[in-house]
Amino acid sequence: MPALQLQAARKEFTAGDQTVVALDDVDLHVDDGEFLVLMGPSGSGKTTLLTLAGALATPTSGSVLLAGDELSGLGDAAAARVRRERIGFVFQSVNLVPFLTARENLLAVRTLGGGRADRAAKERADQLLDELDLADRAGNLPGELSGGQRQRVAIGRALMNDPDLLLVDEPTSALDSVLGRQVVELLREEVDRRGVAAVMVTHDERVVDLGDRVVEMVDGRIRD
Amino acid sequence: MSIALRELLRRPGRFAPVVVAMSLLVVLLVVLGGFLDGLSLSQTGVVRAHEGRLLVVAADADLALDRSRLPDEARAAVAEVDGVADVGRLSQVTTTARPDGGELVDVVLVGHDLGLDAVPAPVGPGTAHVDERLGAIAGAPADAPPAVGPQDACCEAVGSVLSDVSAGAPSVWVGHDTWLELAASIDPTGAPTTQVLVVEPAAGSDLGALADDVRAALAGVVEVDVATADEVVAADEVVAQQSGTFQGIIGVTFLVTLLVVALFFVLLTIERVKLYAVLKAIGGRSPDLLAGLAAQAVVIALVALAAGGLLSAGLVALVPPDLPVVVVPGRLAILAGATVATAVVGSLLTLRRILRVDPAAAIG
Repeated sequence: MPALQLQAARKEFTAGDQTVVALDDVDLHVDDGEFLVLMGPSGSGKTTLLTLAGALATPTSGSVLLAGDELSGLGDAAAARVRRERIGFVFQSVNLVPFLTARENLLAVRTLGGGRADRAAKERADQLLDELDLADRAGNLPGELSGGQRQRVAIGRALMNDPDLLLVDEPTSALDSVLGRQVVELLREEVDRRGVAAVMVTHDERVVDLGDRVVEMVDGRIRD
Repeated sequence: MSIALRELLRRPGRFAPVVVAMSLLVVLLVVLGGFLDGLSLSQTGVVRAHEGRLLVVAADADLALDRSRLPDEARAAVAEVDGVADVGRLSQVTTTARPDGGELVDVVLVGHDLGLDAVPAPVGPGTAHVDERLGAIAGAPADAPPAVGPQDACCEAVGSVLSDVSAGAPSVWVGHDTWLELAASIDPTGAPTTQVLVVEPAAGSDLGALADDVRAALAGVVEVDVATADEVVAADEVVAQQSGTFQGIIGVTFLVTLLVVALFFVLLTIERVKLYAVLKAIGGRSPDLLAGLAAQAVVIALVALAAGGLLSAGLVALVPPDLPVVVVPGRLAILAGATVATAVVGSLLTLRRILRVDPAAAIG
């Protein structure tokens, strides 16, 4: 069973009296342990696909399955639970909580939704920070970290809940080419180590080779 | 510790404006509450000193003691009622006093027969128990003879009474016979007479039934109302108007507090839309975000209460003794609870904006 499967997934937006088709009956699957790279020009539907896969929005029609579980039609609370427990996000602009330390940013995933940062959570956060070579920066606020370190903290946060699916949005956009490649290599290692499925949206062709498969989107469709 | 509380600890400066604003509003609330209670207590001290007793007032006075006039034979008639342990007269008149070496000040001259917890029984003719503040207000020695009335006729001060048995002005308590003589000199055209009777109930008496019996015993003498001290206080129109005015101002102050807190948190929410979108994207729910804001509001309110309370204490200590400001613990507790509740409600007025935060905004 694929970790992620989109079946004729369609997303329309209304702009004034016009209907814009952002995603046009897309079929896609990503297997466990597969690192899928999603490319395409601006406005091609990559971000919309990511929002549907991440239970951040629901399709106008079609279905989105996470390890066989239908995501379309989930209510706000159920979608939040799926995002909290089964999906990890790495955002384009990192988006760490600025007043939490690196370690607390990881633990925040556990405290959302009424949970507690118990001993097991703290041990996992420390383990992840250690793996990401951030153990000595655990007590630093994001403002005290370099761009690469912040991106690594964001990766740790995404992995904190041991997700079924990792969604990564333009991870190299704020980094130089060397640092950008290091970050994507790190992502690749984590995907391999954990056997988690990952979808990475990027414009950066220098890191495309690190993916298992490259899919290109144009005008809301996947190019054959 | 929650994310919201960590923000308070790590970024206190961000919350300083609302803490300062709320602290000042707390000062205003405490001082207004102090004036409300001070005015009420200072107006009604003579009546409240008779708690646990019944007051017999002429029916046409509408429970206003200084409008009541009772015939002399009423006292004897009430004394015959079963369940009455003792009965005394109580009258008051507003006049002036000029303690030796001091300035002319307004006082309330009270005539009474029965001793009270707060005021001893009269010692004898020409003696008085004097409000403890009178000397300070008049700028005279504390033990100076009060020199009450237009002829400075009275009296030798034989003791002091607490300031909370006043009635809009410092009180001078004399025996009722002395009061009748002084009242005649204060108002030569009038014919001073007993205003109110004070009934000391026998132990175990039912006050309701005793009031009915007293009323019945005076049926052929004078039509009266028989009321407890609390009922007389509640019927005081001046006190009711003052209380209504101050409570209105306090209510408006709470409304302003609500708007200040709401405005602060709405602006904070607008500033944090992106952060809230990220928190929602990684699994946070709107109730989590609202609970965080409410927790911040509670802490802000508690800090403001502490700071405002200290400022208020300093301010009240500077108030001149002739201004009636009384800080009552019960009132403080109510104000504190209401301040916290107002802050929480104000923070929750961000509900609509929090619900509208789209987690998808975290991407792209």
